[in-house]
Amino acid sequence: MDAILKLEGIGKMFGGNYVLKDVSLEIGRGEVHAVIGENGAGKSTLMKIIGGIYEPNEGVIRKNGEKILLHNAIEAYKQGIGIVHQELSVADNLTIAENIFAGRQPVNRFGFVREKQMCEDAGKILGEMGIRLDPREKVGNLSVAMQQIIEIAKVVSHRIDVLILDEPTSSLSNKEIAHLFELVRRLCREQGMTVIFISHKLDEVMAISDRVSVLRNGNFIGTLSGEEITASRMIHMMVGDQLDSRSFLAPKTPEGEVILRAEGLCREGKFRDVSFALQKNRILGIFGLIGAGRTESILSLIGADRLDSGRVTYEGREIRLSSPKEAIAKGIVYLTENRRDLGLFLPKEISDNVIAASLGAFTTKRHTVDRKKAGEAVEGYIQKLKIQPPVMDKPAGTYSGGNQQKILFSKVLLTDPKVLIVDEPTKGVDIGVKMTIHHMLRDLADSGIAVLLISSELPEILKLSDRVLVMHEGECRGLLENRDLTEREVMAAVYGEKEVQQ
Amino acid sequence: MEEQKKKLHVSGRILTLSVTIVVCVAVMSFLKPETFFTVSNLGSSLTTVTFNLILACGMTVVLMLGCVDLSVGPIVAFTSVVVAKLLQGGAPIVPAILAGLLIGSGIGALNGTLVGYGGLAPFVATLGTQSVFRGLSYVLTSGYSVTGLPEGFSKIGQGTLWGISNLILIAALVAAVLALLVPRLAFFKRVYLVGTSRSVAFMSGINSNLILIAGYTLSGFLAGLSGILMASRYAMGNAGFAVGYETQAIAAAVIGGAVMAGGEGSILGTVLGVLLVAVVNNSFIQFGGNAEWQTAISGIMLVFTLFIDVMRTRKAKRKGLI
Amino acid sequence: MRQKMSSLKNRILCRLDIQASAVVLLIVVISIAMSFVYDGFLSAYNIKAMLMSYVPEGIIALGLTLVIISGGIDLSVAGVMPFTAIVYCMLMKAGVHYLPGMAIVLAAAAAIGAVNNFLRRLLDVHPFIITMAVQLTLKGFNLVVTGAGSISGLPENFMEISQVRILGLKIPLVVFLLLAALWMVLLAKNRFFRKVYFVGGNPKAAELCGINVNRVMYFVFIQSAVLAAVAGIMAVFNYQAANYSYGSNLDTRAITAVVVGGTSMTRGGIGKIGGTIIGLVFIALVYNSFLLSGINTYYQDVITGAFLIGAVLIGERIKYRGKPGKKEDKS
Repeated sequence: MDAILKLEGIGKMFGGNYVLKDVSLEIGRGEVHAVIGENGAGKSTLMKIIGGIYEPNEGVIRKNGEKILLHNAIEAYKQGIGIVHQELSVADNLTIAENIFAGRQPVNRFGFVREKQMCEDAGKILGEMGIRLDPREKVGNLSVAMQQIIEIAKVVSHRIDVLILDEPTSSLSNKEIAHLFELVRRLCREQGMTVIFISHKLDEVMAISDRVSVLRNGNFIGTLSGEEITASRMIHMMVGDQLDSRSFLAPKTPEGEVILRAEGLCREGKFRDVSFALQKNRILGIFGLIGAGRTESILSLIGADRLDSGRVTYEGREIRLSSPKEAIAKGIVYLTENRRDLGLFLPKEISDNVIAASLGAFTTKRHTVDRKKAGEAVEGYIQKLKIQPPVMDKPAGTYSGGNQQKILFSKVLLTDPKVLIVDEPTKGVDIGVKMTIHHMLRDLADSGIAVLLISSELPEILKLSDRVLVMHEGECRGLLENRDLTEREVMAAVYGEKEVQQ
Repeated sequence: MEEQKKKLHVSGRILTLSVTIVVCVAVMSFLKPETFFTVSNLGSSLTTVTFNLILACGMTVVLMLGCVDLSVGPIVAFTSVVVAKLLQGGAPIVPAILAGLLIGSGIGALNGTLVGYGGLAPFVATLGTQSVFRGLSYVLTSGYSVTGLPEGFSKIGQGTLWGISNLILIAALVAAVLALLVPRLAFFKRVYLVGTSRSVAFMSGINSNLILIAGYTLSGFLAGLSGILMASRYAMGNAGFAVGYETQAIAAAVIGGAVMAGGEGSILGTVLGVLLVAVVNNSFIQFGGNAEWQTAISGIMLVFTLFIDVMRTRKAKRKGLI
Repeated sequence: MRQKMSSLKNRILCRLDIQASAVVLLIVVISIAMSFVYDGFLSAYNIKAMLMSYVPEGIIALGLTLVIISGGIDLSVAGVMPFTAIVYCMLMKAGVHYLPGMAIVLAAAAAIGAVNNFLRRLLDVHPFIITMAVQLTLKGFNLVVTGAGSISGLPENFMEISQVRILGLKIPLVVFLLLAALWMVLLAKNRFFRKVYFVGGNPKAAELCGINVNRVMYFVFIQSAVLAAVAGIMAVFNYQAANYSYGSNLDTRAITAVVVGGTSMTRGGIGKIGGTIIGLVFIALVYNSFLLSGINTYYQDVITGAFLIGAVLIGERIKYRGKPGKKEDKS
């Protein structure tokens, strides 16, 4: 095979953890190559390495057989590699032509931009890509799909032969996706472009890719080509055979009544028609990949974000939560997946963090903080959850990921919740603490709390959930009872596959 | 254990500051024995210190919130003018004073609302209110002082109790009350948290907007108090009072431990900060600099304190705390 | 998920044009109203007088437009302006010819601008506090050097040249008009100036496009200080003297002109010189109307502050659909 790019033993570490280990794969010249995998598989990191944004700690990249070293995006351009990120970086107050030629507009001797020339050049580029847009149009007036096309045009105009697209279709409609694919095919056909793209949408991957590479947990699993590319095979490679890690933690108490019910929750652009029922003494798992809308729907439910429409019923009464404060007061508490930005006061000591959501309970009649009572409560949790090191006054930011998560749990449990919503509770947490948290969640459910578990780790979902709500692209794709549920069945529900064969 | 550590932690800076001040005073007394360590010199500089102290305490709270209040100087001036006018017009003293406190608090609440609910950046909001209320002060007075205030009123600012100027006592009282309340009240705990991270505070169920308004209102209240005291001390209301006082307040608070990013601040530290700034200012005057230098010194000290601030923040960043 | 982002952006863009258009409309309405009440309101004489009094704000606002587009702010201009006026006078009185004297103070201002950005990068704090500290330091210097008075008694050759009129207009006004035209053209057309928009909109993306963000920021702060120096020099041309109190509250007025004209303080990368000029004209018009109506001139600062807050608030309202203060929009 005529490989334009060869990755040999690529390894990348962040903060002591390998996010990519020994990844070796080949990209054929002029082909459309998809890279797929679950959340956290390392796809985006790999793309950023190829695109020059990150440097690998180990391994070598070869283009056309020659080793290349990329320190930034500009050097990547020089090597003919361009990357279009998931987060668009267009200047929407400027014109298409200006965006395409940002920083390198054609100029006359005064340094003045030659508008006519620039527009002509932009027009030529757009024409080559089959895009019918006026280069003088302001980018801000365009739809997101068109903005993305413009960004692709910008990247392509750097005379590249390898184009990387990071999740290009996550915010596009079907029609826009078709348009994008047509563009991609045209680039390959007429300019001999090699296109690498990341996607979660297996049907798209099947529609357009010549070959598909699969990553799992930072490792390269394999590449499928041509007729080998089937949904079942891809799913199998993404999740692997992990029947042994299931060991379902069964509930020990009978199912309670429905305490929280959501019906038809909608927020324009984020999620649509989300409905579920949450029982006491039970764990409802919400599974989905990035962009599925799980966290967004919960944030809207608890009042941290806008909710356009839908009904929320709590303890039999319809409610509309206007802020997390109101939610906590009612007994609905949310443990965020974003510890650093939304969960912890990093420079503040543990005790401040743990009592932060329950200050009212620790305020004396004289409006002072009841230090003794607070101290006892915090001490209690430090003991119970075995927070290391067991002191009260170290800043939360100095603790390990696992212990930070324990601090968050303490904070959340201290509010004495009736509904506990945990979002990716074991992200960035080591195995030992993971086990502890899993058992704790089941115990909490058994004690009468209704637990909502949002996770993109399928084994975790299957281990803990009594029922699994599957979400994809902002919609609910199915509600499954966990009776010997397999990972393949869940993934199939995500993608809407009726049958998943070997 | 938590309290012990806190005392130690604070003591580090408090100790350094106290030592620095003592050293400066000692050096100055040695170099300029006749002029520095005299009752009149210390007395007069202590007078201006009192206003700065009260303002700096308010600024500390605002900085704890991660914000800034550029309008404190104008609030002082505006309050002094309004109160003076009320008294000049025959209003009884107590209601006039209450009106002044109310005005200061009101302007503070306005600031807080603009920053919280309005979503304005603190410096923009207070830059605007600074202009408005300085302007209104001049509108009300056309540049003239408002005089003819009743003796009973000026006695407050000019009198002494047990040999110590009333002003010093009042400022000390304010500082002492705040120094006691800030580490203890649940409200201030929330202030620290909101200042550390508004989003985390929001997710933890704290009403960040209300806390912002409350913090700014306190700052405004204290500025109003300063205005009343200044009017009393100088027996006049003047639109030109307190020009540049906000920078001195910020500098003092940052020296005392507050950071621009928010979440930190100590009243005791601020008191020492005010004293240090006063000593430095006075030293300059001793060496022949005129009072006009104060403004320049404020600016330089501010940059200097920002160095301190960035060193602190960098250390925290390196530890992964921010 | 699809149209939402684009419709929001649309709205913001419309607001830009709407804001500038609304202000123009207000200008027209007020002008017409005032011309009915006061004869000669729209006379060349009155218009010249109106604009003349806001030349310093105007020149400074040009520089501030770039600073605000880039996402920063520069409060030091209120100190640089009187500083340059004073130093310029001192130089001339010491025998320096008025032309090299200009070059010297302009260079000094450029240095101050560079220091502003240097400190901003070093101390990693919001530029407002840095530039505020610089402003105060300069003001202190001004106060000390002038002894709270004026510096006058400038050499003959300067006195002569400062009275020169071009096309019946005083030099400061001519300089402002030229600079305004120049900045407008440069910001609209010059490739380097255009980079300020990218840096203000998305510094990381700008870096990815190969733009040297550091160089752009130094330029932004230097040009702001230099323009403030020009304003200072022009003040000397106008008054044939320098006073430490020049430029009091000048920064706030200039910022208000910029913001009223449509440049956004909250969203970088948006703004135009044309808008700033419209904002400036509007403010000059309002002040002048107040003046003529016999309203206390001291109201100037009050209106400035009110307009500043009002203009930013209106911008914020349109930016955040619904309540501001709820910042969760991720994950």
